[in-house]
Amino acid sequence: MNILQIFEQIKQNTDAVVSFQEDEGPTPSIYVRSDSVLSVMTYLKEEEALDFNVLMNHTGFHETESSKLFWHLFFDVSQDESEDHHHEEIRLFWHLYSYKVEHRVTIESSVPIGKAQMDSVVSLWKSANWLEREVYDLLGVTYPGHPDLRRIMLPPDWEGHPLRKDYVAPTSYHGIDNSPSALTKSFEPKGKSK
Amino acid sequence: MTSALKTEYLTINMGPQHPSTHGVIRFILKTDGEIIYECDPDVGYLHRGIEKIAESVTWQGFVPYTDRVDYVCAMNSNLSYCMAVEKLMGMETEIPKRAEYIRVIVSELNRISSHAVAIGAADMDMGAFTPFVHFLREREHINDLLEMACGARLTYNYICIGGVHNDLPPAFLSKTAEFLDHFEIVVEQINRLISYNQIFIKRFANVAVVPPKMAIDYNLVGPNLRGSGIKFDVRKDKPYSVYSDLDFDIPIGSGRAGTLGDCYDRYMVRVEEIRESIKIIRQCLKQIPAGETKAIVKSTIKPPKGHVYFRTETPRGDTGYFLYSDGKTSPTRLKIRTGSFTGMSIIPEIARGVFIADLVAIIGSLDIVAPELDR
Repeated sequence: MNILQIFEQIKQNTDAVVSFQEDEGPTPSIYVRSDSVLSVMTYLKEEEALDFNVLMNHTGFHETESSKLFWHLFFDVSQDESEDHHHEEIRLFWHLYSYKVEHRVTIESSVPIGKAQMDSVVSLWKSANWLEREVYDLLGVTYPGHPDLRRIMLPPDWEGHPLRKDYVAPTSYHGIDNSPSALTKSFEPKGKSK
Repeated sequence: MTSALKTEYLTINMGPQHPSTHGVIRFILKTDGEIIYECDPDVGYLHRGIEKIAESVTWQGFVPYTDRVDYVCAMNSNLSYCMAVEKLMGMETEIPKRAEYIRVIVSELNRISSHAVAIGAADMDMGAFTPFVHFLREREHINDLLEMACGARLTYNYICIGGVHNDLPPAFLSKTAEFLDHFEIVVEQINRLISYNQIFIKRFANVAVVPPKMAIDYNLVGPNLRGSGIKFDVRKDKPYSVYSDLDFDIPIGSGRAGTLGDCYDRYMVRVEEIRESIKIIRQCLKQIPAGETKAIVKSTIKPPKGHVYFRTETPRGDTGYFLYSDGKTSPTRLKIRTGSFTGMSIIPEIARGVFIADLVAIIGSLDIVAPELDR
């Protein structure tokens, strides 16, 4: 089944707010509003004809510019026209695959950075457990419903989430000095002041 | 009357500096005597922030970093990344045919050397040191061949966006054919030495069984998935490069020594994949055309705005590169989903109720490489 057919299926059979994204790169994706991600995922997993039995990848990134990109697509969200929409957001991606039907789909969603919360899909695919821990660790998205949300790559007492674009690397950690040396500083481009 | 006696679990630490973890991985084990009750892998000791580094280097400048993602099969990492960028730029049809064949030859050679290390290391963890040394000796031949092609022995940076950096030297193809003839015999010899050895089989059979359903649920990939009897290989099912023109089989586990999906099945899938790789390279040596080895690519590329998730089959399985481009000179986001990551995430589930000594067998059979796991 191609992605357009999958999109029509979701639209007909669930009451989720979805839109089709085809102008972003070679693989089109289906954008799902953050509050209906879990219901769409449950549908994709449990519907016989779709049968997405594997979550290949889950990731996200910090979008600093295009908050206007997505929210304007949904005319019916005008009632929650709060300041969130004009803030930065974290865009999340799920890549699903079906070994039985042999088709794939990319699901996309976004959460405002001030309230980075997404429903966990660990109840559907166990591979989501570590993938969500990684997104939490590096991007700071929390997943209510996750059984064991801890940092995975970084030490438990680390501060900040490195893959956010406004992240500043610490200059010391437990007495280990990490400030740039004179040699490192000499490579910095001239005329660029911090 | 209830008994006042109860079992107290003993928490012990394994790693990060442990000879069987091949890198730095730590396990926190809760044990009941010799039996593992709970196993909590503590990863991240080799986290170098490669995905963060990607945000500040150019698209081409990231290729050497992919070598370091998985240095046991650096060619395959190069290939995964370069093909993902090509897909994002929409230039995957522009790659010259000769370059595609060279890519397949070098990455299959690298697959052989990676599997040789995986098999050898698994043997060594089980107490058989000799096969490992034999495999390392054979790997030297492959390193020599790849050194001929690109000048490096471990981190190659040979495959680039648009093709390969330089054409193969004239003697490469004949030397490769010579090596394959020699290696095919050696594989059988080493199999007789270790793979069909009853002591070794007893050690691996029926240990840490992964049923097919669990393998899919945890998204196991590559030989680990095929060890559970699922016939899926990205090279065959979603062919990329010139794999669609090549004829090869996909070995799967069948419970030949015990249960389907046990450590021995995963091990034997790798042994048979070596034979398939030899078959693939032989065909490539016959079919490789003459011509250009690199498409014309600007020195600074700016892929159009968009995202792609591209999968290739590396020795550790289906490796996915997620790229997001903002139309700038460096990626906005680059995420690498590796086979070791999913392989590691299944360990808490399959290590429950096994002997501590068998945890070593599990790590060996899942072929976990720490730098790829932590990135």
